[in-house]
Amino acid sequence: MMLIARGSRFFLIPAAYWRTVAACAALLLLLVGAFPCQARQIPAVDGLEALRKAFTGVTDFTADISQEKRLSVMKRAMTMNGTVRFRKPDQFYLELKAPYASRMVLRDSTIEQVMGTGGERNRIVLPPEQGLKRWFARLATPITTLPEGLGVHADATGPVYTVTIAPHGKGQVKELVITFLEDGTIRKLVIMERNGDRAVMTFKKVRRNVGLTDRDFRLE
Amino acid sequence: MFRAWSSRIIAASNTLTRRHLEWVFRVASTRPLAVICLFAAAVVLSVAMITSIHFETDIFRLFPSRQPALRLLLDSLEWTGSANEAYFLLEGDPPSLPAEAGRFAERLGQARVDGQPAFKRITWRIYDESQAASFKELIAYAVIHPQLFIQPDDLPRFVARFAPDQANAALQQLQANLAGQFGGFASGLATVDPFSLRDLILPRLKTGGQALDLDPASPYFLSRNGAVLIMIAEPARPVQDMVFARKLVAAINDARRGSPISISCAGAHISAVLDEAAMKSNVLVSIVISLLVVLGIFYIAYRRLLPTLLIPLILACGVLFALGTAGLFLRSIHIISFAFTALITGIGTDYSIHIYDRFHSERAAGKTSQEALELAILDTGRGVFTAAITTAVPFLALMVSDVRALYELGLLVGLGVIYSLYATLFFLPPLLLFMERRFPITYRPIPCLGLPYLWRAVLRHPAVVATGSLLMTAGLCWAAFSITFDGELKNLQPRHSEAFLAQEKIERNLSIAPKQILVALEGRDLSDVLERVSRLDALAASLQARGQIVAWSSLCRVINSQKTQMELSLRLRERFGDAHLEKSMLGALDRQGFATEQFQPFLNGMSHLQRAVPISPEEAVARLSASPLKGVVDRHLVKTATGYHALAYLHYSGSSLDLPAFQAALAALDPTARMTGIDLISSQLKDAVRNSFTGAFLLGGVLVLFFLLAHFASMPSGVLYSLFPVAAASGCMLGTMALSGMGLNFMNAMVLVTIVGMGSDFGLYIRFRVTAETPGERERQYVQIGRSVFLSAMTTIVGFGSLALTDYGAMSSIGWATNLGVGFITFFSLVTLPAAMSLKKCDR
Repeated sequence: MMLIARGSRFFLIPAAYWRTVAACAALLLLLVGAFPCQARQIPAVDGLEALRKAFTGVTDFTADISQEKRLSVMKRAMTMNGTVRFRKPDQFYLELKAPYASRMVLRDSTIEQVMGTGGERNRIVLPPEQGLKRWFARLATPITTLPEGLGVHADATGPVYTVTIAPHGKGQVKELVITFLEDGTIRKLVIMERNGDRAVMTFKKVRRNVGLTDRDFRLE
Repeated sequence: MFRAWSSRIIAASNTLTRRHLEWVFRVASTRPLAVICLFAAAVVLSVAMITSIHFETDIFRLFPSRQPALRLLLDSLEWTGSANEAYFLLEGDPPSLPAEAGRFAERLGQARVDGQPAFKRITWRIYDESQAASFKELIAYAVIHPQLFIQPDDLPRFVARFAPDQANAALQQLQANLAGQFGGFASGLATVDPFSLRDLILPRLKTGGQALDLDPASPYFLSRNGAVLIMIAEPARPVQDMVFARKLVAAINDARRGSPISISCAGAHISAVLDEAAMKSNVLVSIVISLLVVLGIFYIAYRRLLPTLLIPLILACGVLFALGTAGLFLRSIHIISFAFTALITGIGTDYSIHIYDRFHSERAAGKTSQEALELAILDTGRGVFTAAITTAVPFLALMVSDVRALYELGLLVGLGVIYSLYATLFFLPPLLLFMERRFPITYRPIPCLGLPYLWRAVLRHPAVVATGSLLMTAGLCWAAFSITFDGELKNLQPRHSEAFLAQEKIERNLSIAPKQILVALEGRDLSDVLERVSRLDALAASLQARGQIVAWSSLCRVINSQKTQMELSLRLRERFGDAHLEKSMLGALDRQGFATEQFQPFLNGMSHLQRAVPISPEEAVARLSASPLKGVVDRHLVKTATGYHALAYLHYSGSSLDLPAFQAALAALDPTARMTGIDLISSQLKDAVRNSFTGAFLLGGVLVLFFLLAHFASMPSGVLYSLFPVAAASGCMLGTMALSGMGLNFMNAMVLVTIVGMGSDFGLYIRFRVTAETPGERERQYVQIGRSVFLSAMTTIVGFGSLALTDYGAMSSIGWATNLGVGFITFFSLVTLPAAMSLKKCDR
């Protein structure tokens, strides 16, 4: 949890670390498209290595996003649409449309967020080990062994890979499932939490290497 | 009647001195083996005593802890645990600081001392997942007990959050938050506070308990300029365990080795170990340098090896016996007091110089060994004896001081001087007789060091010299009126020690304001204590409004007093008492699509709002202590066997606060309140030092005067000749210090006392020795004694000079002041006194 500044006020943010995990996974997902197929189990390291390769050659991208959230505190699932932008090495932008309008920029370990159309700006600084740059740095070299603290399961059917990542310990995230094509096209990201909450994100209209600049990552 | 009595006492004293010296001479020259055995036994006893002494390093232990301000400061350090914390300051490239801090914290966490973790706790960021559950519990409690936490002015906003439109808006905001986060942001927190009521509570909790000026947007303990990150750790064992502290510092050094950023440490453990090391190094270097230079001076002047080699033995006896004797009175000695060793080196050599110089001169003049030795011990020795006593007495008079540093220094130097004198009187005669038998030499006149020229030059124009001296004295005395007093205790510490520099960085980068006042309100009834704290808060608020203080913190800035709670509870009951609060909130949640069963604890809590009553202080403190705000409680409220101690911290800059007016206002508000702060401690210590100074000066001065009167019983003008150089030199010393920007402080102020004893010696020697009728003989006497005085001054300056060059502000200031004083005394004794004697044509 974290006490953060919100204008002149403060409020609490829960374990921010898994948000970055999710953000990174979402980025990977944007590079590829979903591909339904029959599953066969493959070595976990191979699955992660395939995921890593998806980022090779990508400097930035934009995409439309749709998300469905099933939260224990809500009676019904929440569905929302929006757009995302990414630029290597550490910039990410997310905008959701009404009725849950919000905008968010992540620069490495610093998150800035505006709720509603003109609400107050929140600023959150994550611990360095949760920064975007560090996550992508891990994907810079071939993966030959499983990272410590993660349980990984991977399967593939034809060109479609599904990698399931389960962080050990008592963190909030129970499981992260990424589905992507052999050529690096990710289609779906599923995040499951220990309290039963679940989010499914899908991406459309992915445009790669469009030449995004710093101006595309501002909240103004 | 009085005159007759004093004459009798003085006569008896002189007779005793003479007989005593005769006895010493007889024993020393006829029974050297017995003397050696006796001294060896004394050495063994002294060493045994020394091993039982504990050596202190804490700077605060130098000062009288019964002073109210210092007592409270020491108490508060003990109560809050601050005395045992270690602080690490990380500096470097701002973006890389957090990552490096993480790595360093990990290494500290792995650090071991004797196989056990070196630290109990390491804190460096606000973010701590392990506190999530307790934070949620605190929020759950706070939002349904606002009477305890909310500012009275914020109550209307709190109440308004339950109005249908605001409740709906808050829930829509919550939905956006839940949707906008990756995953289920704050689901858990949302269930205990769906209307974000915490927005009205958390700012108060944060600002009310702040101890450092941190960047509010950073999750780390980072300075506002981003340049310094502070890490606070609690070592596994208290600072009193010096063996542990030394190993801890070694473990810290291992942990920070190779780090690309600068990591410096402060805190009691680090300070104790580093200060001890710096102090030992300072003292050792001072002793070795002063000893080598003193021996060099002696050897160059007299060209005799064995007497030169005897000096270290004499000094060692002086030091060992002084420490051994002090061990009878003191359980512990502050390490700063070891500086006395260097002083003994400077002062203790004087007696060897005077006695050997006389012996050598008489031998060169054709006297036999026995005759020369008798003259040296019984004639010059008498002057030496009086000089040693008049030197020792003012130092011993410092024992009336409340200031431990002065008490110990006075005791050790006073004893050391006396023991050095006796070691000289007992060891030098047999050695000289032994040398005469085994290594006979032809005695030649000792180099005159240009003193004959000085003597003649002074006698050629005595009026000019005397007038010039008086004018210089008058000018410097005038300048002395502008001398300042430096009351900053920190300036007495080692100026380049890591702990000192790190503390300065904390003050520069992380302090809310340059100065701080701590107020303690105490009592057995917690409710009453907190009520008084709230009254203090009102006073602090008015001071802040007038710009006298920058900020303040207290427990009542975080929670409300019983009186305020009563008022807020009444307003809450009036607003919610008849409303169907739970039902309407349930409806709002349901309408917005929330699963209402998840919010049941919050909804159940609505009854607390409707029946709001004041929370007992004990429960409030227990709730806070079980939350991440435990540190705030620990800092502001302590319970001991004597009751509760509520602490409030007022931060102010420079002279913005009218301290006497605040003291008066506080006394009017709460007569039992205690307060402390560096300004207050300095002020009280100033009083203590002033009292010590007056007491020591009167006592030392009277005793010195008595011994001088006894010595110059047949020549009362000798007293004037002894004291004139001291008086003039004291004024000149202060004037020079003022002109060169040096101020007086708690330590060097006492030089004004000790210099009376040290300085009266030189005039005494000159007046006592230069008594011949013929000009030629007078010049010979002047040259002989002037050389001894000059060499003695040199060795004293070397002893104190070695202190002047140390890093320890306290010692350095004593060294500089004394050197200036001794320098002027030497000038007045060797230059002005001969001129005065010539003008007055005085004789014995």
